[in-house]
Amino acid sequence: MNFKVKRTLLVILGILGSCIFLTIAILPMDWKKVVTALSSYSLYPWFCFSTISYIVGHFIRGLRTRLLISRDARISITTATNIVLVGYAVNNFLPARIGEFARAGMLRERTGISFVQSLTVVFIERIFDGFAIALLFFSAFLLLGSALPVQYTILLSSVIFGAALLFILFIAFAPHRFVSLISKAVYALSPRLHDFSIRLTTSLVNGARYISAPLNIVKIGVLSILIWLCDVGLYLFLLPAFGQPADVLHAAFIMGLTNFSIIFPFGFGYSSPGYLGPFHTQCIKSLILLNVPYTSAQSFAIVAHLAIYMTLLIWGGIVILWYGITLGLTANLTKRAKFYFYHGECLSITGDILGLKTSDIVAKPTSQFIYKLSEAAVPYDEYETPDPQEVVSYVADFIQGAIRNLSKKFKLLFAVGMFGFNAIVWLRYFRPYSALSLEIRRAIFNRWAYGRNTVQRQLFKLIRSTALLAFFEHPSVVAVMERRENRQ
Amino acid sequence: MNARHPVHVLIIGSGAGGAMTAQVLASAGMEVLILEEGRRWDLSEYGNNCPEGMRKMYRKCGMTPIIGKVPIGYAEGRCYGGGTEINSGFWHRTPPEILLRWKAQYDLDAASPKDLEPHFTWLENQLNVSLYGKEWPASTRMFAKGIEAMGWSYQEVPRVVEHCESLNFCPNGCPSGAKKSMSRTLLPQAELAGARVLTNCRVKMLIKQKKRVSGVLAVLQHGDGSEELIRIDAENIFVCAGATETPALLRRSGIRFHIGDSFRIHPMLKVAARFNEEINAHKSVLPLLQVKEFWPEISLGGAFFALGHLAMLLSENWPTNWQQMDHFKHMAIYYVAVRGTGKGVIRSSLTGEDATSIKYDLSREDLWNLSKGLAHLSALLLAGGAVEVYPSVHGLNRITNEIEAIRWLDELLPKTSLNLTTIHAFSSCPMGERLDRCAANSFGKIYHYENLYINDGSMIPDSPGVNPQGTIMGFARRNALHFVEELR
Repeated sequence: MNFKVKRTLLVILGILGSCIFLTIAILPMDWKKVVTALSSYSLYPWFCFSTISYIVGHFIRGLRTRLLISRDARISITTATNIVLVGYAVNNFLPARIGEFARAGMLRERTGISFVQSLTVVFIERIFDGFAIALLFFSAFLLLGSALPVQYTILLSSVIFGAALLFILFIAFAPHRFVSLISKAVYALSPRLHDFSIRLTTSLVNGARYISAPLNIVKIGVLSILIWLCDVGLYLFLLPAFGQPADVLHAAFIMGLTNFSIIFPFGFGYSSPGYLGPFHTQCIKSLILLNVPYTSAQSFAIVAHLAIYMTLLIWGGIVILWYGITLGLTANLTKRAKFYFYHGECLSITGDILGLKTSDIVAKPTSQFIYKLSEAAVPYDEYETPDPQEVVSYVADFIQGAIRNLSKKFKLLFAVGMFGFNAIVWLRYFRPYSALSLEIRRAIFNRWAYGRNTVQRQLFKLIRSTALLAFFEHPSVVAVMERRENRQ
Repeated sequence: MNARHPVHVLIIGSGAGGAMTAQVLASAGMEVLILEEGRRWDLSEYGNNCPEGMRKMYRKCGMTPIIGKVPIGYAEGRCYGGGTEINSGFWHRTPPEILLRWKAQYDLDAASPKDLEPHFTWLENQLNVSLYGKEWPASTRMFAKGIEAMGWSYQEVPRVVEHCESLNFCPNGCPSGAKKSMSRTLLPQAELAGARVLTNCRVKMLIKQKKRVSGVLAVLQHGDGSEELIRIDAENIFVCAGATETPALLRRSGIRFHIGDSFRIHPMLKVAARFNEEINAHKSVLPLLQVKEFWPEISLGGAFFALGHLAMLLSENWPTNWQQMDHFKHMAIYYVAVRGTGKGVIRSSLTGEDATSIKYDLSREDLWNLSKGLAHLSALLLAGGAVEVYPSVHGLNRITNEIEAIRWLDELLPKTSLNLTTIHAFSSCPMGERLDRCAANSFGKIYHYENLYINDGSMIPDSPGVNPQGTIMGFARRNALHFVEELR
């Protein structure tokens, strides 16, 4: 079986894995209820706004993760958001917030920081999440009137998040004291475990380092509030679809109560895969407390859950699929590669069992378009070489080689740019560039390569520079130039 | 059936860092295997014209773009001997104030001028670091005249050359063998001591096993263009693939702790100067002096001259300047280089292809320094007898008097019009004891890995402000000897 077939099989396996993941995720849903909920109300465009608000929240989560690890690693917001998404997506089909571990694992893999440090970062995010939810929830509770029976929720969440925040702030602001406390305690209990626990503690301290500056605490706090305001947006945009007024306080109240039910692994509701059950129960409960009829509340809960669920399913699924394929390919390559060093001798491997491809050493012909561009780019008629066509071919070959050496991304950009260039030429002259006279081709080339438009100049920079380099290095041109200079 | 045998030390890359490492370890009796992506060329195959030289000895035909607000052209070697085969051979010890700065900012241990002194002395003997020793060529004399007229401090930069024949082939491989590149010096010494070299072998990824790296996967290319995937196991691995490829390889392999996050370069702006006298820069060694007056922020010096290079430089304003090509015997090329303070990152391709993404954002300080540098350099050249100066800046056709030159002391060069290049890249995996910014410890050992080291330009903590070959080799020797000591 050759490499391509194996690789295709691996990709198919990855897709199958993803389908299994989708099945596990989709099966528990009560699709009859979903269909009823979707068909009874006019969801467009509210569902779209709601989903967009939720997605924006995830990008801000990515930004927050990026900031929290910024002292130790640099990742793009997209990567950070994907990492967050993986955590959420795994929570969608595994219980007890296993997704937080998956998220920490991927953060470790993407950044190189230790797993404990990654887990600490996730922990800090969760504490700030708790506070942001609590802040929005309490504000809504106070402004809506304190008659709503949620005092128990408020008390419990305040105690839990307050204690967790104090603990993490202690680690952040007194790291040495924390390490020394652990050191003394572990040494007294089990000296053998001392070094190991100090390593873990150091990772924990490193994870909390970003919030050791008050300004950074404010930054993370503000971002956390923004994140949960986006989640408030998810509920806010759905309310009008169910005949309810778009009241921010109502949306914040629903968001707060619903999320408190799912944020703890064994909290107010149990943390089921995808939070099926607890989410709906608490969401419906909060809506009923706001005097929304039960049937509307039920449909609202189903649609709100769907907005979250589908986003995580699609986005998270794609990230997990990509990640899995990458790891699978790596493992496959490692197994497949032939061992090359026996008893200190490099082996001469023959045969093409492991042949990957035929390299570009086999010369491919230079395209007519590049040849015509080269002809327009160089002043070959100014220098009377005995073989002008051969000089232009030499230039064109060099340009073609340079283009072949571009990365795929640049090749694509170059191809798109040249497509645009050709399209414009077509529109102007009703003929392809290659079919135009040399004079017109030169005029067009000069306008693009040396004109005022920076984008056009950048597009033509590669051709213009390599063309002139190759042309003036050609032995015939050098000889002509030597003669000309001597005459002067 | 043969038993598998892991190599004791595997070195990836045969440039300044890799060759130095191989020489030390092989001389210490260790089993060493060097993997080099490029080809091994005989001396008889050196000394081509620029297009041929670029095709044979440069990565991506010398067309590696650095993306950012201002695109920068980057050229690096890819052959047996790496960048030392295609550079000018200039040699600087790491300036003491830079070492102090690294100690303060990166907590770099055992790197005082005293610590490095024996390594520099050894290398300078081995590589015959010396001054030109003959009458300076015209391009250098003109430059000296200008410097003296301005009353600035300068130095003749020593080179790793013995009996230079002024053939002007430095960037295309010195055909006389006068340049003490790695293929002429340390690599043969290493091979003589038992080191083995496998060329045309590109390492795809490192195989990780917990805290160790057990080997590499590599693609071996045969003469007919076919490729094979091979696996080589090793007990210790030194990655010396250069400032861009080392971090790309590490990141591709999932090693990302501070890897590729702090890439630095010396951005360079070139100018051509036309003199009344014949300079014949195309037939002589490049200008040998460097202005130290504005160091470390700005350096002024001479660059390699070839007709193709002159055409590329003039191409920014080709329609108005192309006729200057006829005066090539009266022209020479000089540069302004600045100690880059912008931010750069190196990332591997998502698809694992050979497409390292290199980004560098020129800082405002860089732009100011380039502008001021252009003013100083132009004033110097005009004072040295230049009739006109042609900067590689679109829209700035020529500078003909001092008033036009000093304008750039107070004005910023237009960013989108600059044509910048660089050949100095480093700091993508800084070494030092500070865990919050370093990828490797003070001796190049990658953090969190027991047997993985870097020993090339990537490990330099920050911009050295001078040509980095001396710094790379000095530190590489120190690190390699430390490795030998540790094993003993």
